[in-house]
Amino acid sequence: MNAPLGHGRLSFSTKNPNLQLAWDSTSLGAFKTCPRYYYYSIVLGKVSHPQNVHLIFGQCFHAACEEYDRVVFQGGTHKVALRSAVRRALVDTWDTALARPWNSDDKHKNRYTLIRTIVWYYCQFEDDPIQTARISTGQPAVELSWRLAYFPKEDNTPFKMRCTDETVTFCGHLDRIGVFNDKLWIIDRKTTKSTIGADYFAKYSPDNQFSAYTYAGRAVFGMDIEGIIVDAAQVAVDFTRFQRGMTYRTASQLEEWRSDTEYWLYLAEHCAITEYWPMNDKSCGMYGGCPYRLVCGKPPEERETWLRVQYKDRLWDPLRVRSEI
Amino acid sequence: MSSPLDEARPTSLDELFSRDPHELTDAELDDIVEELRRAREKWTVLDSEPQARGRPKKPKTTLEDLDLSHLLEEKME
Repeated sequence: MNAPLGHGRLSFSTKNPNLQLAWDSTSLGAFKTCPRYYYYSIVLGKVSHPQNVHLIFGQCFHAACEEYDRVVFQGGTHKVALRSAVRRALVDTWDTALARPWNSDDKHKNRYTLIRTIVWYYCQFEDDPIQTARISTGQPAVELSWRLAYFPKEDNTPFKMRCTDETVTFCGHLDRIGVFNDKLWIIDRKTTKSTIGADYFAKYSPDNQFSAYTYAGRAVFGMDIEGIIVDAAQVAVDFTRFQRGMTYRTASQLEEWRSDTEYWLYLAEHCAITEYWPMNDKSCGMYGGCPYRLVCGKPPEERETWLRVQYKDRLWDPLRVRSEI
Repeated sequence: MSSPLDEARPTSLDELFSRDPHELTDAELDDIVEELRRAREKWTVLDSEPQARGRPKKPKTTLEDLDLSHLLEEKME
């Protein structure tokens, strides 16, 4: 199949439409998981038809938290901020065209548990010791879309794709940068259906997303980021439980992530040049099962048809800020 | 003197959730928050109770607990 052209393809080269130039942790993580998964989800922009409740729930939760953080930063009280956050979530999960609420059919992640999660989160952290940092413009450091001018090599010169001599950039989106114990931290919120056990936070080191965030926090915002504080929410049918954990990155770990990313980018380039993205058939069962297992399980000559019928178009564009998604 | 309309004011979460949120008042949003806050308080109490973290398991029956002697006696006869 050929990569689609047109709107949303600004992240790709005009010289080779399969060659991604603007990357983020989602697209890099997709490639690391399985090149074929990356090809279907990012290059072709195909997603499965059933709505991804985790994505919707997560985005709405993040948006509500941004609303709360902004109101408090601007001097609003906890009560006013929480009311504003709840209103935001209710509006975001309201289908104006059909005049009805979002119905997820998921007993864990639905509109009610979303609002409950927001209220319970801010009940637990009403007196949060973490204060939102201020960026150089004076604005609160919340929902920050960022982009590196270029992805650097070890000598800090721009990394370029060898086949087209084009610069690569790295983009992303931070929930919040906060001050805790006089140090700067990236604050990230995660929602899960699973119990948050003792080893939950251990999985975030190493972690592609958090390494990228820490790298960006220092490179883009010029902030000396201590690490990442993760607020994890277990969203169950009858309750939401929260745990807060921390993960750190040293300068040497970040350099290792940068160096490894160069390797992965060259691999992605090779795939784009050869127009072949191999399957990593050890990843098919991970994360609840790959959404493209249906396709990959078919003979190669049938896959294009299955992709056309069973999946819809959704281009993932790292250059789009979150408010546009 | 409280207003008789107070009693009639709809506060159930289902009813509030079913309405267009653009039309919800600040007071109604505060009602949602308050009801969920109360639910959290109830859950917190239940969650802190020992049985909430897992009821004590019933002891398993072992072979020593079973008296099969009557079967053996019948067989020997």
